[in-house]
Amino acid sequence: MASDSSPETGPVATEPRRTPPVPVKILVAGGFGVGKTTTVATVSEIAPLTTEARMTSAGIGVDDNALVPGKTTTTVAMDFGRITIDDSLKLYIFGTPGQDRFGFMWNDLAKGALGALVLVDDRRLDDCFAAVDYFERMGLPFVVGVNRFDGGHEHDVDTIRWALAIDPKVPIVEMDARKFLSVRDAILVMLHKALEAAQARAGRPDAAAS
Amino acid sequence: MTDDHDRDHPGEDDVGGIWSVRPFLDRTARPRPPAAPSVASVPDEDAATAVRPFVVTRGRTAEETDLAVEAQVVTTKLGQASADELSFEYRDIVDLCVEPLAVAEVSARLRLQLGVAQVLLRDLTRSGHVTTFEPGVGLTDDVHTILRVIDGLRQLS
Repeated sequence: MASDSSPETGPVATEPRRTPPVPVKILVAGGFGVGKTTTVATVSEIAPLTTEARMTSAGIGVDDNALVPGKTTTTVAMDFGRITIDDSLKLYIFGTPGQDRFGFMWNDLAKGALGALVLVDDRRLDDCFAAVDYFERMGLPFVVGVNRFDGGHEHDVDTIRWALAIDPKVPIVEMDARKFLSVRDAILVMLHKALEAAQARAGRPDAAAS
Repeated sequence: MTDDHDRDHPGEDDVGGIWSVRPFLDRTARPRPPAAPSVASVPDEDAATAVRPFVVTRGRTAEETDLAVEAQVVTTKLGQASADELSFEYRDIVDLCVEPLAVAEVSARLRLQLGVAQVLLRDLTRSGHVTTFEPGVGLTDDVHTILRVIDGLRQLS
């Protein structure tokens, strides 16, 4: 596959010992404290890892300090986990950093993602608006997961759908971020949306962007 | 891939503008919450950054590279054979990636900022010490792969 094999070393020595698995990724988004890290931890086969990234963005209309001219740099932390599907396929689950900052890093993260799970705390619905907007614009398949971790039932699903003003085709599922099967099933719902989207694009390749 | 990603750059748009559009359930109609005390943005507690991260990369930033966070890194035979000749972070990476790991895993396990890890991995790829496998561009359109993920997840309990 695509690798630079430098002329001095020759191709044999620079071959990997075995072909690595194909990595696929999904995103977990939502406001602060809504359970992104818990969700990642619940499904990951490894203790979740955290990577830090410096995010440079033009900041215009995105960051609070948009009035400051020039670039802004922030360090964000991103939790992620992993599920080995089989020897040749790994699924990575990335918790998207922050909820307000949709800079270039978000674009990098979303690129190639199969889909996203947007977590909602129904006492703070507005916290997820930015993520919903973002994935709608990206055309990335997503599902809204209402995290009922503390049994809270401030709003029913219909009310939440109205409040979020999302497409009726976007599934809303009730889930518990602490329970494996609950999170897994929410991810499965999202993957079925991703599958439908992929099948639709395969059926009419020219209409992919509509 | 002629998809929305290239056509549209949501991050550069006025994301804030749409907040007023969605119906607002909160009766107190508070404005946007103040800049959230995001834990994510204050990673100072165990900042292992006695050396400024970009000293490691001699001032280069990740902008010239674009290794995906999930791209797989694996040490080559050359990398294994000559690990001793490498210095510091390079050697750590070569030692770590005997088994394939994602770029993000390298970053997290070695406590290198993501952008730093991306630059160092590019170096090691060029020198032939590691190979990186980028996910296929068309992966999101690959019905077969998506089905494999679905089937694999279903079998977990």
